[in-house]
Amino acid sequence: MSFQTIIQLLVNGILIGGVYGILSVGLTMIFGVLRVVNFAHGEFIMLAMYAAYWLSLLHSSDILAILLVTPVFFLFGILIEKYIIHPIIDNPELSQVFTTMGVGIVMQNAALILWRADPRSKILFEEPMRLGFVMISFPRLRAFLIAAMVVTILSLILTRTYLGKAIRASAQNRNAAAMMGVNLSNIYAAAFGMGISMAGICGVLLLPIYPATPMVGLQFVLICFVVVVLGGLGSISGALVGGLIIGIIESFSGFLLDPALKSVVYFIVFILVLLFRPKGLFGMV
Amino acid sequence: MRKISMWVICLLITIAMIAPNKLLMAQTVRIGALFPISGPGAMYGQWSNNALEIARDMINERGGLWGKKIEIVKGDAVDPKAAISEATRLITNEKIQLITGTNRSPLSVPASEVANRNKVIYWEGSCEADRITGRNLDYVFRPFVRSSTKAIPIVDYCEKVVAPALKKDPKDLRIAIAFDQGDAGVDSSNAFIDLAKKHGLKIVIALPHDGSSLDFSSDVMRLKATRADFLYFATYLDTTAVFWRQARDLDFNIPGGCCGTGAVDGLHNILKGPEVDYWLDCEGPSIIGTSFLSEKSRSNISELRSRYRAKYKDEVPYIAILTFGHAMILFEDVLPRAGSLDPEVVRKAAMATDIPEGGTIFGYGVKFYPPGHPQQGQNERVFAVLTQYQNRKMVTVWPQKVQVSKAWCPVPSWAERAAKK
Repeated sequence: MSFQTIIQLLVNGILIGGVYGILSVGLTMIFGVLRVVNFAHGEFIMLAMYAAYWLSLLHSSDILAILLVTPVFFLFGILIEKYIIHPIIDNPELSQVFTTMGVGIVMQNAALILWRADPRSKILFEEPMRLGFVMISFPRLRAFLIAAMVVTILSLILTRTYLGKAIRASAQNRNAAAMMGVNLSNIYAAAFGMGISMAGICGVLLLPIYPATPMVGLQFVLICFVVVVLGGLGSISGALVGGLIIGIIESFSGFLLDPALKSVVYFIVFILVLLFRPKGLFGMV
Repeated sequence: MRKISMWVICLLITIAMIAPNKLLMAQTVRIGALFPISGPGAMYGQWSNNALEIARDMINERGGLWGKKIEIVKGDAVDPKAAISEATRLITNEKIQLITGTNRSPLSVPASEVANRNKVIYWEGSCEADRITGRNLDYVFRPFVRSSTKAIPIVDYCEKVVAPALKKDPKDLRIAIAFDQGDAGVDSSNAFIDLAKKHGLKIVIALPHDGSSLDFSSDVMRLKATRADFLYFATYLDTTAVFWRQARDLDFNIPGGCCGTGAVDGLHNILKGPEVDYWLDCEGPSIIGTSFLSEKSRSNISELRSRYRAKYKDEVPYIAILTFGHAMILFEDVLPRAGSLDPEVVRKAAMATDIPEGGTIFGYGVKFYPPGHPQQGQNERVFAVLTQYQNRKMVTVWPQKVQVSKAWCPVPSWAERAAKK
C-alpha cells in the first residue's frame, strides 16, 4: 500500500466521518438532555433534504438554505416536543421508543403519499479539489467544515450562555436544575428544537451527496446510533470524534479487507470500546 | 324489541358494507400485485404499480377480460417477511388466484414459494435471480430474463466492442466486478464470472459491497488499484448514483466502460449532468429498434409511453416497462386463452404459450420451459441487451440486431470530459 493511498484513505475517512458526525450531533443532543432516544431522527433529516431540494429550485445556495431551514426546523422541533415528546417524557423507555418510531413511520409515509418515491436529487458533478495527489470531494468537504463549525458554535452556546448552562444543568441532574429555578419544560423544548435544527442542517448538507427519497432516513439511522453510543450519549464533541473514528476505520478496513466487511470491523471496535468504556469515549450518561 | 331492532340494523349495515364488495368481486377479474409500496424499494414499486394500472386501463377500455374489468389488488412487500405475509393475505383474505410482482429477487423468492404452495399462479415480471425458476415450482412463471442470461451480451460486448476499441486482445482485458450481496447481485456476478472464464477473459477482482452503505470510497480505491478496463456493476440505482459520484471524486477511470445490471435506467434523474453519459446497462430489451417488433407490440409501447407521460409527467422508467410488458403478455395472450382465473387452467395456458420473436414489446418471444426442466417456468426465448446513456438518454447499443445507436467506446477520462465542457 503506497503512501499516496494511505493519505487518500485517511482523507476519505475524515470526510465521511464528518458526515457521520453531523448526522449524529442532533441525536446525541436530544438524548443528553431529554434522555429520549429519537428514533425518528433519520426522518427529520429526510424532511430537511426535501426542504433543501425545494429551496434549491429557487436558489442554489446551501448557506441560504441552512439559514432558512435552521429556524424552521427549530420551531418544528419545539412543536413536536410540546405535543408528542413532553407528554411521554417520564414514561417507561419502551413507550418512548415506540412513540418516536411511530413519529418516524408517520413522516416516512406522509412523504411517500405527498411526494411519491421518486428520488429528488441535487447531485452535481463538481470537479474535485486536488491537493497534490489527494482528491477531495467538495460536497463532503463542505459537510465536514460545516459540521466542525456547527459543533464549535453549539459548544460555545452550551458553555458561554445562560441557556447552555441551563441545558447542561438539566442534562446532569434535572431535579437539581429545577430546584435552581431552571424551567425544565422550556429547556426540553429548546434542546429538542436545537437537535432537530441540527437534523435540518444535516439534510441541507447531504442533498448534494445522496438523493432524497422518503426512505432515505433509514440509511442514516443505524450509523447515527453507532456513532452516538461510541462517542458517548449526550456528548456533542463525542459525536464528531465518534464519526471520525468510524469513518477512518471504515475507509481503511474497506480497502484492506473487503468493502462488504467494513461494518463488521467498526462494530467490533464499537463493542470493544463499550466493553472497556460503557459510557462511550466522552460519555456523560 | 329495541335490542332486536338494533341488532337487525347492525346486521343490515354489515350486509350493505360487504355485499357490494362481494358483488364487485364477482364482476371483476382480480389480479394481485405484490411490489414494495413502502420501504427502500418504494420507488420501483410505485413505478411498477403505475405501469400495471396503465395496462389494466388499456385492457378495460378494450372490453376487459372475458367481458369483465380487471381489478388490481395491491400488496406491500416491504421486506421478505412482509412479502410472505402479504402474499398469504392476498391468497387467503382476498382470494386472489394470480399474483404478479415483485421488483426485488429477495422478495420474489419467498412470495412465489407461498403462492406455489397454495397452488396460486405467480407471474414474475421484473426479478432476475436464477433461483426464482430454478426450484421446479409448477405455478411460478417468469417471462423476463434471468441473471445468467444477462452475462451473454456483456461478454459479447467485451470481446467485440471493448477489446477492439482499446486495441487489446479480449484475453488481455482486465475486467472488474462489483456486486450487491443480495440474490440478484450474486447470481448476476456468478453467471458473468462463469461465462467470462469460459471465454478466457481475465477477471481481476470480484468485490461484494453492502448496498446500504453511505460511502463507497474504499470500493472505488480497491477497483482503481486493479487498473480495470471494464467494470460490471451489479447493484441498484441509488447505490449506482452514489458510487459514480465517488468514482468522479477519486478520478476512477474505466476506459472500456461501466455496465449496470438493469438498475441504471433512471440515473439521469439523480445525476444532473452529462457525467451520466457512457454508463451501460444490461437489461431486458425495452428501447430496441421498433422495426423488430410486431404491429401490436409497437402500438402497445407507444401507448404506454404517451399515457405514462400524460399521467405522471415523466418518461416511463425501465422497471415500469418491464411490469407493463409482462402484464400485457398475461392480459392479451395467456388469460384470454385460459378463459378463467382457475390456476390449473391458467397454468396449462401458460405452458402452451408460444409467442414468436417480436411478439412482445421487448422483442423476445415467450415459451416456457416445461416441468422437469431445471429452469421450469422460465421463458426460454428471452435475450438481454446493453443500453447506454448517450446525451443523457438511454439507447440500445448491443447486440447489433436490435441496436438503436452505436456504442460510445472507449470512455474518455474524467479529465478529458472536463476539458471538453
